[in-house]
Amino acid sequence: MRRSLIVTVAAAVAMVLLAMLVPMAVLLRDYALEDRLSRAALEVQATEAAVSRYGTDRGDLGQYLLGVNRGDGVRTTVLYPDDISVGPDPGEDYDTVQARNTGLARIDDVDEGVEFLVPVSLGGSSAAPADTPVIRVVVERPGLESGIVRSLVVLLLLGVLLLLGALVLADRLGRSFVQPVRALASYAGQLGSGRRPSSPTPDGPPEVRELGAALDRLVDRIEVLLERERAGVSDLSHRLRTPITALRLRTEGLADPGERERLGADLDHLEAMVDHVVREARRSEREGLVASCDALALAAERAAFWEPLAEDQGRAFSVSLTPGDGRVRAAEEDVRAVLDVLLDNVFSHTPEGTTVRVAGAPLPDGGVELVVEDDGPGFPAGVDVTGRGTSGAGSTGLGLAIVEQTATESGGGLLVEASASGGGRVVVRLGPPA
Amino acid sequence: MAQVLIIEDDARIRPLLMRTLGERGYAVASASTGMQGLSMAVENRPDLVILDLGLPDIDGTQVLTMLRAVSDVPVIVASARDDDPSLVGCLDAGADDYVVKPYTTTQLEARIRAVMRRAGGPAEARGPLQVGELAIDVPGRRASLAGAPLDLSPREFDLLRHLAEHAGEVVTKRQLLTDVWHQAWGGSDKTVDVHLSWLRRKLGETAAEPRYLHTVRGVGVRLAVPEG
Repeated sequence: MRRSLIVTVAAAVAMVLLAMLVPMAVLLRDYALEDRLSRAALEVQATEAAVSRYGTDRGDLGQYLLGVNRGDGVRTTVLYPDDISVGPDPGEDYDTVQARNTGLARIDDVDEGVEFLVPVSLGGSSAAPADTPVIRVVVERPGLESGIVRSLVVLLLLGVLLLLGALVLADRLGRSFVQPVRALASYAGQLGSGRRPSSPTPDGPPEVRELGAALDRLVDRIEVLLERERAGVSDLSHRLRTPITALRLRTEGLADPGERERLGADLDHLEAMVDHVVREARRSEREGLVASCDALALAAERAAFWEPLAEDQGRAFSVSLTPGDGRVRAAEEDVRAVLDVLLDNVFSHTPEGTTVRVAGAPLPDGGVELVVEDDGPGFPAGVDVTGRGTSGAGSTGLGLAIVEQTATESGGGLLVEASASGGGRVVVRLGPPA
Repeated sequence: MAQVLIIEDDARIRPLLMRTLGERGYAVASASTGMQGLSMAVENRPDLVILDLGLPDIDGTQVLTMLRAVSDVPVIVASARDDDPSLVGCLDAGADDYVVKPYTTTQLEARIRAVMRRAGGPAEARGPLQVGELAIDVPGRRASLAGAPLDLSPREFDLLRHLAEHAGEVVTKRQLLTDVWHQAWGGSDKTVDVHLSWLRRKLGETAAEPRYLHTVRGVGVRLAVPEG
């Protein structure tokens, strides 16, 4: 933002300076020409008087013209009819002859600038051309040799100074904008990583301060909602589990063992469902402001945790984790539960000695793919193993449903298929952090 | 006859517990509020208190704190709250055990027995649990094998302690899930298995060549002094 502001100000100031300096330079040049023309007019008058005074004494006139021509940009020459000239530009041209013959002064544009031709009659008003020398004054257009260059350099320096001053001011202004915004961005970034740092000191423009206050209010609100939800879940847990306890205690009192066992099994199932409901209701409590964890690190941790059991059961247990960014949008506890459910399923539903493979790799667009597969008998045909309540081997049947929920809520998904050997293969894709 | 005080506000659970525990030989009194329970605990001096946390007047955690200020009566917290902060908070505040609802009278009674057994005398006098060369210092939460300290996780320590308290008996995985994991109905046998595998490693043995930990296939596990 700071750089953009500086570039914008530099462009704007440069345009203003260009719009101001270019016409000024043109004006300066015109002014210098005007100045020379005025000087030339005065010199014409003075030389006219000198020619009249010295007459044919060209030596004195030559001295006079030397003095006159000492300045820059204006050259004065007196052209006599006998083709003799005094001054820096000898020789006559058609215009000179015309001026002499007509006795009329003229001003012409020439290559170098402007030319004054003023005939001076030495023999009164009716003097013949032979008695009429012509004063030629050539006024050169102001060029690099004139004082205009100095003025242009001064203007240029002034322009550069103005530009630098504007850039310094823009930088200061930018910093005064950027620093509070940066502090706010850092605050938001820390919130994004799940921490609640102390609020940044209110600083900067009112809009930024207002934004900071709004962000604070929003976080306060989210925390209040999370706390309310936590209390709500605690209450939900209490409300659901207390009557189940009463049911358990009543069931124990039943005289018929068969009836007691059936009701006990129903209560087991109900309890598992309640646990699942409570667990799901606690998801936002677990995730906090932002859900994020390193799924690859957790995969390594959980694989290491289950490895001793594999060893005890004589299973080949291979772990293949591709290094990379393992961050996913899910709470650590949930990803750990995903891995534990998948590994628990393998250990529960495959015979001892069956090979287990765990793999994990970062996905190209962020997130992680976790694969747990085995060489066991595979999933039963025609059964939706991710469906709630679909169970085998006495489990609650919520395992893969929990895995699917975590995967879906992270922006990924679950794929249950057969491994190359016909065993079970579960692929869990977890999305990248928000 | 051991006297048990139940502090529980639920009008369905309270009479059921009173009846079932009474049938099992306990003298049971009950209170439906925290204040009433506190006053009964101080006046009647029961042998054990079963305390619910969600009480209508004051929270059970506060009742526990106040009770601990005036009495060292064993307390089992029986609550629907199964989150770690509640569990750890109660144990830190002085509860002797924690049971998560729903529970059965059988489980509750087993806990009552265990807590009262532990409360039978000062820890120093009882000394550490000893199974062969395995010594378990329960209050200090330390264990050692042939004098060498064992590096156990909290769950592994609880598992070993529970098995040592029932040394020589076959303990079922369901029992372990209930007593060690506080998961009376949920949980997986494999969770127990993997912890047992870790425990075996740390005890320097394997499933194929067990010394202390013996798996009784299809039943459970037994901690016993190695033979020979």
